[in-house]
Amino acid sequence: MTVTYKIHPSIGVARVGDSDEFYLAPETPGGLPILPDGRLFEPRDFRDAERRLRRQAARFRVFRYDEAHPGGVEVEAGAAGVARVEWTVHLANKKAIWYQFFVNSGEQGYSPDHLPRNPDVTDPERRRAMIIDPGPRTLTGPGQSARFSRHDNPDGYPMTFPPEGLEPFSIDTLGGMATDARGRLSVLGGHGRSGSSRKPPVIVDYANNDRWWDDTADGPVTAVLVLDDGSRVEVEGSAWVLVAPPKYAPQIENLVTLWDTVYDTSVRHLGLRPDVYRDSLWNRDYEVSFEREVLPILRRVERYPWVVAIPPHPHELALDKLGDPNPDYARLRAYYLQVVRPPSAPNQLTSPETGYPQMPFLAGDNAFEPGPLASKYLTVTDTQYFLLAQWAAGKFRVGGDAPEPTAAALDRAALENCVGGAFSPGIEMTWISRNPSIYEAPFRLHRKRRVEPPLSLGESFAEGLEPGDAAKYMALPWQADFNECSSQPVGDRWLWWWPAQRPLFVYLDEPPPRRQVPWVGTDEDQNAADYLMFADDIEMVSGWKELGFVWNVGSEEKPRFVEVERVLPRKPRCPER
Amino acid sequence: MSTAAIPTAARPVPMRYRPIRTVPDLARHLQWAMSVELSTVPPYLTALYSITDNSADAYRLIRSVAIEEMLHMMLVANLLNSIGTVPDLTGDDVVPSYPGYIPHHAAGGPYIQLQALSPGLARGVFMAIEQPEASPCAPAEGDDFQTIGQFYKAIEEGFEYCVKEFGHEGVFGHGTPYQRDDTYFGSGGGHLVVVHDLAGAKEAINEIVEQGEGATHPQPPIPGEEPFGGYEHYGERLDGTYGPILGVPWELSHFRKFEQIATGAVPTPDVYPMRANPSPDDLEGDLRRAADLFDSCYGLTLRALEGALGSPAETTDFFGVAFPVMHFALPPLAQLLMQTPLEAAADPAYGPNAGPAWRYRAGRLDAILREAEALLAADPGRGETYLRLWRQSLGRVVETLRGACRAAEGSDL
Repeated sequence: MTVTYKIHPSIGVARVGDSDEFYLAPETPGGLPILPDGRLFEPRDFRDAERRLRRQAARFRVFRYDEAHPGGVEVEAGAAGVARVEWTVHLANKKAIWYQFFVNSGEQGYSPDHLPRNPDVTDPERRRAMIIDPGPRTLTGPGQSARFSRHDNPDGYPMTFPPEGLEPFSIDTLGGMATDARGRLSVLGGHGRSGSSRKPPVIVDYANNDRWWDDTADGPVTAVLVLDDGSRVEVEGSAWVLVAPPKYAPQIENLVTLWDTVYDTSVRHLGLRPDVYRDSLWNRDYEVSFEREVLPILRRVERYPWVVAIPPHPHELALDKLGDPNPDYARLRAYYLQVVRPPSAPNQLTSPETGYPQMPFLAGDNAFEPGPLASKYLTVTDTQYFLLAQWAAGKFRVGGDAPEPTAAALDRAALENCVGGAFSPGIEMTWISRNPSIYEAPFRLHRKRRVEPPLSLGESFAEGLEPGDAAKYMALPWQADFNECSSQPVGDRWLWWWPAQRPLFVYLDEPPPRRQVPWVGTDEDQNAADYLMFADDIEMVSGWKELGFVWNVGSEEKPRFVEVERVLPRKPRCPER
Repeated sequence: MSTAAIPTAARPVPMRYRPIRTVPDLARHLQWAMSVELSTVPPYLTALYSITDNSADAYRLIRSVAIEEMLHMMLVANLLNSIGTVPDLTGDDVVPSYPGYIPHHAAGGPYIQLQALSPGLARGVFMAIEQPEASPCAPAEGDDFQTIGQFYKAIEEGFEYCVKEFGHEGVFGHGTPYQRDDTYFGSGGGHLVVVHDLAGAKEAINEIVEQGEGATHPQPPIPGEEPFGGYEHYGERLDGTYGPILGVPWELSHFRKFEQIATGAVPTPDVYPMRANPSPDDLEGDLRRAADLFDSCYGLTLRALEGALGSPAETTDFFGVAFPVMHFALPPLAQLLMQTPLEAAADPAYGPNAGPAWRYRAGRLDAILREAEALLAADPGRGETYLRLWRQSLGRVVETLRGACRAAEGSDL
């Protein structure tokens, strides 16, 4: 086996915050963020001393794969012949020049009547100027830092930034990067600043607002190892960083995570698991690991009632029975499988067997546009459904899993803490994550090798992704969609979007009886314009940083999640009658 | 207290009410409660199975009520076990017969028939079964009760009296180990309470009364009137939208759910034209055997539930037999009968068709499976379209019974 080097996580996720300070992204699924000083994370650490919201940095490491380490082993600067690690990051935000986001139209290619954002700007030069591109930054050794700022241009790169003086917030930076003493890299995103060059700034749409910019971004993370003898080794497996909105319930996972979605694509299109799926055939003899492939899904089900108003009882699952291969429970498993909406039926609300709503009771990729692209309700991925069906059929084992190598676990953790659907558009990445053409290997985005300024107005999957190409689909500004994607009327039902990322209802930390209150708005009045969202999207442009986080004050086995660190005053309830 | 007109149901209290004064009497009343809860399930399930489209709102409403009635049975079983008595679900005076009256109801209460769903059935029978108390202050009533809520009030007062008179040990000191907290799952409301003391008994009773019949007002509350609760349920909200609702029992009460069907607020879906109070005697040959098979599966379910709620056979009896048969065998069998015209030449779309009789039949599980397999292999002679339905339905029944046989191997079912 030849020696290869790869960066992990292969896709890292940074999150915005208005503070200059930061913590590190969780490195376990549903885990707590990590403090750079090693202290255990506490609720007060979400904010700095001025109660500003801290940013989440994405931390990257280089792993070496060789005969002795098929699962990879971390490479540290100053050890084992490696003098230092040179890191290069190139962030960009291409939202203003990409197509308008309109549910799932575009996933199979854009039609000629699908307009771009800022359609009145047709001159390519002027359009390119609307890309936020501070150019790449390189750190050559431990303990260094750099900023993706318009005021910090070491190489004289032809940077493009939006006009100065945007309202309500101007944008001068996309974040920064820093290396620690061991040669690991942390990438920081922006401060959640969004603004428009039009005055007064007005938000008219959930995803597409012309002359608006936000300071989220994405781009490649590459590294070169400088060995003790001075020779340079390029790290073959480059990574990508996504800068996203905060995750307000870090310990609660989405039913379908971004890892599940990318895994599904990798299984069905990239040949990742020929023992599961090969030559278009599902292996019906595949024996599922209950702990690794089923239990996490069931646990996610159990935690949703802490962030959204859904009946708790149906979400309490008898995990001891569901993981028991005793034939007594065969029909219990079959019953639960009936509850799961098959991926083939994204417009089916109720189970044909029981007449009850199928799960997840969440909005789908296209919850509101009728026609052939309608996809009203979220479904689990094909691979998730296959694994659940195998389990229901009794083809599962309990225990016996080898521990997951650290490198793979980092990839998994970063993406398991993200939204894997519904992609309308989503929080971190949208449906483009399902497109096998954007990957050069499972979980690793295909990076365009030679990126010359100016960045492209289009894209070529054959050449690879440029900075800004992974997240340019997302809502502009992100706060608009983040505000509106609370509850969604579909037919005569109200469905939810991403309660684990953006809670709908939370419990207060108070003595029983404990009340569930809307996360954003006015308590009790379900018809208030500001019940589950701010009445005007533009309020979210500043309000997001004052909202609370959801925190487990109970135990892992018996959780109790409450709202912490909310700064925004909660409007008083109706007086007691 | 409200000065609204007193509904006619609030007639003077019968003088026959004798408060519960002994633990055996408490057990007797609880066993009656078991009969009462059990008697509601077959008519509700018959109406449920009569609906041709499972996605209809009415289907969802009735199914939720039927499942919550089963929760009430399990709660009553826990109450019985808490005072040392195992519940009887198969005795001659326990298994309900139809048509008939609610057991122990004053003047019989509504006359219960097994019928396909109609707004009239919802109003005349189902709403009457779930009639709320006239007021929160309505008195307790034992045998010869007027509302089920008042009957449970008598039981609650019985618990209070007995604990006061005989002490905690005197009431709960001989509890069986057969109480369950794991046999109620899925999308219904409420939860199972394991009872070890007076507070637990009251919680269990409250769970039954609040959820069902015993909403304390027959009218909707004024918005803001009730205490603020958790968003524990979905339902139609007072403003007409559908979504998460506050912890208000009224919108979710069984009475209210049936009222929505009775008034047409929830449309009545298409139903199979089943004759009222069907009987196996309506049919002959293989068709009659299919009707008997339904009753055998019903009897099997009751025996398995009795085992699950009152013996150490718990896991297998419930999860291996009762639950699979209820969920995967009774519905296709009932709907097969409901698509079987009594007259061979009649169009099943117009009927009248057969239906489940809900008569208790004894018989061992393996014998029931053999009978189902024999029927699956038979052709009842009603034409090819019917034969396909026959095979689909009986195929599911056979598959379910085979699984139950595997699970129950060595048991006495």
